[in-house]
Amino acid sequence: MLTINISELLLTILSFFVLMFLLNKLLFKPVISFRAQRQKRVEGCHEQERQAEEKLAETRRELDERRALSLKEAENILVQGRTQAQAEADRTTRQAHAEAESTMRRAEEEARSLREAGGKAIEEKRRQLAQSLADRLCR
Amino acid sequence: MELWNSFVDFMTSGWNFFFALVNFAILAFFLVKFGKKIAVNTIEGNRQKISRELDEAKAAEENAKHITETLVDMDAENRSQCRDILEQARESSLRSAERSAQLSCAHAESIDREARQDALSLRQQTMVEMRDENTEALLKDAGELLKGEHYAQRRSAMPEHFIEQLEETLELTDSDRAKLRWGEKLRAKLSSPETLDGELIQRLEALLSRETEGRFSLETELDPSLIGGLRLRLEDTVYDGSLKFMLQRVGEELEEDESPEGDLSEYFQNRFSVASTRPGCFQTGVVESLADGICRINGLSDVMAGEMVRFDNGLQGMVMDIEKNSVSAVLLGNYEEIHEGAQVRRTSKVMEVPVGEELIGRVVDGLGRPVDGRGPLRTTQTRPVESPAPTIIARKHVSVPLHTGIKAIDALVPIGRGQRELIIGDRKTGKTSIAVDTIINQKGKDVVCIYVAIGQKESTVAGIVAKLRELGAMDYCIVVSAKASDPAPMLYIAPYTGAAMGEYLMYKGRHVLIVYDDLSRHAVAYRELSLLLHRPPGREAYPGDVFYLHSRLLERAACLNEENGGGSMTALPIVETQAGDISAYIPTNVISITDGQIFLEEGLFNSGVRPAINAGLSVSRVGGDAQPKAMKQFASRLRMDLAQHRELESFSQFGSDLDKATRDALNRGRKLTELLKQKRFDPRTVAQEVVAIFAANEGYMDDLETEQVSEFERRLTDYAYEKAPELCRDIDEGRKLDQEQIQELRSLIEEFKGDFRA
Repeated sequence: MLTINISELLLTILSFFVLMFLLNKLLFKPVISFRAQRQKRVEGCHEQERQAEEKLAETRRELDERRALSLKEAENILVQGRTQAQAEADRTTRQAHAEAESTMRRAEEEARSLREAGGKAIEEKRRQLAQSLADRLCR
Repeated sequence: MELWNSFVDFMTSGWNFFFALVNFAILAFFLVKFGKKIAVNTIEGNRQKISRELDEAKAAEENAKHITETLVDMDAENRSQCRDILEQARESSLRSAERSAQLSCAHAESIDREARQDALSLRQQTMVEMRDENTEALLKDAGELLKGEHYAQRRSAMPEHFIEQLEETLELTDSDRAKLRWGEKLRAKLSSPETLDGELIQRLEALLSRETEGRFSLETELDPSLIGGLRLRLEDTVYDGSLKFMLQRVGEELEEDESPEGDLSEYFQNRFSVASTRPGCFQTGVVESLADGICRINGLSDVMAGEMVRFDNGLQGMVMDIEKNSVSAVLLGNYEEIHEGAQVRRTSKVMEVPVGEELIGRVVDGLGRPVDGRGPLRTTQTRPVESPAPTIIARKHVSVPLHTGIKAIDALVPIGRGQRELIIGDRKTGKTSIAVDTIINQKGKDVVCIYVAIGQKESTVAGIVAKLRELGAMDYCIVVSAKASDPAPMLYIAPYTGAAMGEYLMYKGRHVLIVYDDLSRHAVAYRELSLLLHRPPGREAYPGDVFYLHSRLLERAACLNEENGGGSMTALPIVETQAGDISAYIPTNVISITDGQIFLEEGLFNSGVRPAINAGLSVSRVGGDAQPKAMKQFASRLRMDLAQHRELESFSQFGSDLDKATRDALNRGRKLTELLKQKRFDPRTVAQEVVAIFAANEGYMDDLETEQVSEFERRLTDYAYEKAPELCRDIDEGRKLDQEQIQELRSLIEEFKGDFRA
């Protein structure tokens, strides 16, 4: 007759638990721990990469900003240089015009005095010059 | 203990053990049969997954490490770049400031030079005015003195002295000898202020008899206005030893001296002390009729064609026609004071104009007289306005480019030094602008430019001169202006005057660019002269020799070989067409004389294409050999693309459903047309032109908006000069680009385009 052998059942249950205990102690725990560590390491690496990429992007942004600032500063330098050069050129041209005007004023003055002095001198020597020409032509 | 015993019993019982083994074997069999593959796959999958994860993790770790390292480098590189940008900006700013300072210094120097020149001119002008004011009075005083008793004795000795000088100088002219050969008598007339001694008359008759073999008739007359001395007229030749003539000659000589220097009384004294007392010998004629600036003269028997004649009031004329009994001359100036019977004197010189480096920076009229109010010209050199063109032996092939700075011309119709390139088009199509831009671009290239304005409005010429002066181009430029209100002879002579000035410099080894603006008006002026001279009219009423009129002018442009100085004269004649008709008489003539033409189209001009050059009808027959090598490499493609565009454009108007190739060609053509547009007074260097054309040829402009082309071109050419100065220098110096340089140019444009888009 088919019966349940209590003692055998108990023995089997006991051996199962002993086996489970031993497996848990010697196999499952180290394996789970190893897997967890591995997972952690992998995640750590990925996290490290993500952080590095974030930092890279941030650095790129910063560098771009710095470059843009430099370009802006360069443009300012160029604009400032151009403005200064233009101002300097204008000043030189103004100065040249002023000097030219002064030269012309002096020349006009000189021409006036030349006309006065020359006219007077010719008037004084007119007779003498006419005489000299007449003498020359009628040698 | 009991349990243990039962277990031992169970195990030791043979059947139980056997069944256990059978059970195990069955279980093992099923497990191996159905579960092994799944288990192995699962394990293998897990292994691979783990391995991948580990690899990825390792790669991520390495990447992170690499990124960290890169960050440092990037930072350092960025810092270096920023430093470089600032450094370059500072350098560029410094260079720009230096360039600007140089330009402003040059401008200031130019202003100063002009002011000094003006001051000097003012002084000279004052001296000339004072001299002229006093000359008349002095001559009058001298004349009065000479009439006085004080000089009576010396006056009475003058006739004998005159006869003695006449014995040495009297010589029959060719026309006199001809008359004698024909058996005619020569008419002589002796004028004296007082009654002459019979012995003197006999001496004179003996002299004349000896010269004419007795075939003469002598008439005497009293002329108190002569003051002293004698005047003998033998047919048309006058031997004038009178005091009146000598005084007049002194006055003329003084008038010819355009720059009296020093103290005026000393000047007069010096000039009077060297005044000539020799009798003057000249041929004369008498004005028979005068109409519209053309004078018919009786006399002047031995006059030469093209000789200058001088009228009583100092006006000059030029002999145009020599007929059997009269001579026709054109009057070069205001002829209102000339009357019938007025005396005309030969000068024995063909028409000459002042030439020389001293003319540079000046504005002169058709006779080379200054009209810019800057005092007299300080040159003593003259040159006949008409002279033969250089011979074939003296010339060499046109091989050096004359860079105009206009993209369309330099790429499509290049001009070489010594070439004659016609600029032709309707009125207001930008003909003069092209010529003026070309002149402006010659700055610093050792080319002297001559702008001949023929029949232009004074305001137009003044505007051009002001612009040239403003841009510093007058430092190497001469302007010959025959304005619209001048008589036709002045318009006729002006281009020859300009050519003579250019020719002088060319034979001195200089390079000259001469612009004739324009030859249609010149032809019209010549037609006017010819009709007034009663020459038979031909087609469009132009005289028969109108082709020769221009061919002899334009043939004088040449490129001389080294033995002849190596100079050159490039001519840019301008011709105006009516309603775009280039088959009219004058345009076809000039087209056939020149080495090519730049045809400007009104339609293009009005649609905003400026310069409005029609690339199809424009051609340069010799300029291709003189084109810079780099330009030549890329310009042929440009010409083909433009031609293709022209064809497709007219075709595409019939329909909008076009294939991609046609659309691309049209797009390329539009970009090229836009690229060839250029503002006035904005000349480009060869490198700027080549870089822009190369970029367009390679399709770098195809994806741009049409409006962006000009901005792209401007920034690209600046970029090229900044980033590849050596490459640009090579192009500017006319070197051919090798594959490496072309690749460099290509990457430069790509790099720029990235920035341009950003």
